[in-house]
This record gives sequence, structure tokens and C-alpha cells, in this order.
Amino acid sequence: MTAETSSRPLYHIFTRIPQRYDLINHVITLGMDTGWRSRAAQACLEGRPNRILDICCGTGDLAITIAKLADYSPEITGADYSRPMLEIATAKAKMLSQGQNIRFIHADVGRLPFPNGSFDCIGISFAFRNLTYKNPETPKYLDEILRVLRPEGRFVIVESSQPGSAFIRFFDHLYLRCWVFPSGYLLSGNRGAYRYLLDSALHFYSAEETQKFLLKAGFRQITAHRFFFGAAAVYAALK
Amino acid sequence: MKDSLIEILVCPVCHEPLELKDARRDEKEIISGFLRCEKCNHDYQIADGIPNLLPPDMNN
Repeated sequence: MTAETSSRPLYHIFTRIPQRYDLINHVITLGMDTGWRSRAAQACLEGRPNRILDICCGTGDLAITIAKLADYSPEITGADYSRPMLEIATAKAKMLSQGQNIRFIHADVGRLPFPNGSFDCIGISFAFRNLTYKNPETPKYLDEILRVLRPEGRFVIVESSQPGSAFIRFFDHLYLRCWVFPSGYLLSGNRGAYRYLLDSALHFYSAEETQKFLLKAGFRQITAHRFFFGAAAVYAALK
Repeated sequence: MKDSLIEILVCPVCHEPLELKDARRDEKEIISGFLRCEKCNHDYQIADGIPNLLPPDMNN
């Protein structure tokens, strides 16, 4: 394991408990992750892209949702640095992708194994925070995403956010502290990973801040659709 | 992995094309083998149909 991976507490949960990973995500989001991911998949399919890349794909939920929703046959590729997650993704895709073409590869977002401009759309589901929250590698990740996205290509993100209203934000943070952290910790047995998730979710960007962040990184025409009173959002940006 | 995937893969370090070596297949897909980067002199392993294209320093 490299210094980069060992310094990121979520790496352990990505490699050690993948069998429970989907269950934990559904429990801590009260099942809402499925609907939010579907909205992201719909955003990925806008303009009927031929080549779609799901980065940090984990157990493949975004890639599989895209495959289920597509009424044509795009080439869908999932990439993740956790081999155990990819093994689950491959098995799930065989059962659930309804004959669509999904390929999974073991790769790191910081050094993707694709030529420049390879993809019409890149999606990321609940992992953008991991790439950007107090992460010194963030510029490398964003540069690499821009490199493999074709000109005019779309980058779609579904991620937690900060509700705009202080009143709603209070209850959102209460939910993070009293439900997300304890249930994630109990189901995973990994306190560090869910402490990280709690801290990063409590302090991550609002939708407006994420839009500004993407603009500064080199994306344009950035839109945000908020869900659950602003606790999550789907962003779409053009290269 | 399907053969068509090789067309879009390059070495994650130097971005040169990769050459498939020692491939073992079932009816539909490549199950195992290597993707060789001649420039870096490195073989990226394919195991159980999943190619490992992590840079060599991340595999250590």
C-alpha cells in the first residue's frame, strides 16, 4: 500500500468490507442514495454519449444504473482502485446490466489508463468528496478527469452538500452525527472510516461552493440540482 | 474483459498503447493475461477478467 492510500481512512473500508458496502450506503442514507444516483445516471445520459466512464465506481452502482436507464447501447467503463469492490461490481453487472456493455478496470483517478479525450461523459457517485476534501492530490485528480474527457464532454457528480438554510443544516448535521456515523460504524466496525465520512460531510462544500470550485478547476456551464433540502446535489459541468 | 476494451487502454504512466500477451479466454472474454507497455517495460496483469492498470508504484 502506498503512502497515498494508507493515509486515506476510507481505503480500508473500500478494501476490507465490500460485501457490506452497498448495505451500509442504503442504511446511512435511509435508502435515498438510489434515487439520487438515478438522477445522476439520467444526467450522464443527456445527449446520448457513446463512451461513459464511472470513476471511483466502487461496487458499480452508477455504471449499472446508467446501463439500466439507457435506451441505447453506450460503452460504459467503471474504474476503481479497490480490487474487492471491482469483483463485486463485475458480478453485479452480469446480473443487473440487462445485456449492456459494462467493463471494469482497476485504476487510479490520478493516473487513468486512457488517451486524452476518450470519454463523452464522466460520472462520479458519492466519491467526489473523497477526491477533494482536504486532499493534497485534488489538482492531479481534476486535471486527469479533464484530460480524459473530450472537449464539450460532461462531468456529472452526485455528492452530499450543505443545506442553505441554517435551520435545515442543523437537522442535517444532527442526522449525520446521530445516524450516519453510528450506523456506519456499527455495520462496518471501522470507526476511523466513518469518523472521516462524518467530518468530511459536516465540512464539505455547499452547492454554490462546489460550483465555484469546478469553475476554478476549468469546467464551465455548471448546474446543480439539490435534493433532500440541499443535503445532496447532482452537478453537471462541461469541459 | 472484452477485446474491445484494449482499444481504449493505454499505459497509465506513459500513455503508450498496450499489447495483449498470454491471453486466456472463455467463450466471450479475456480471463487472464498481461497488457504490456514496451516503453515502460512493464506488464499489467489481467486476473479474473479485470485488468489491473494501477501504476506500478501503487501495486507495491
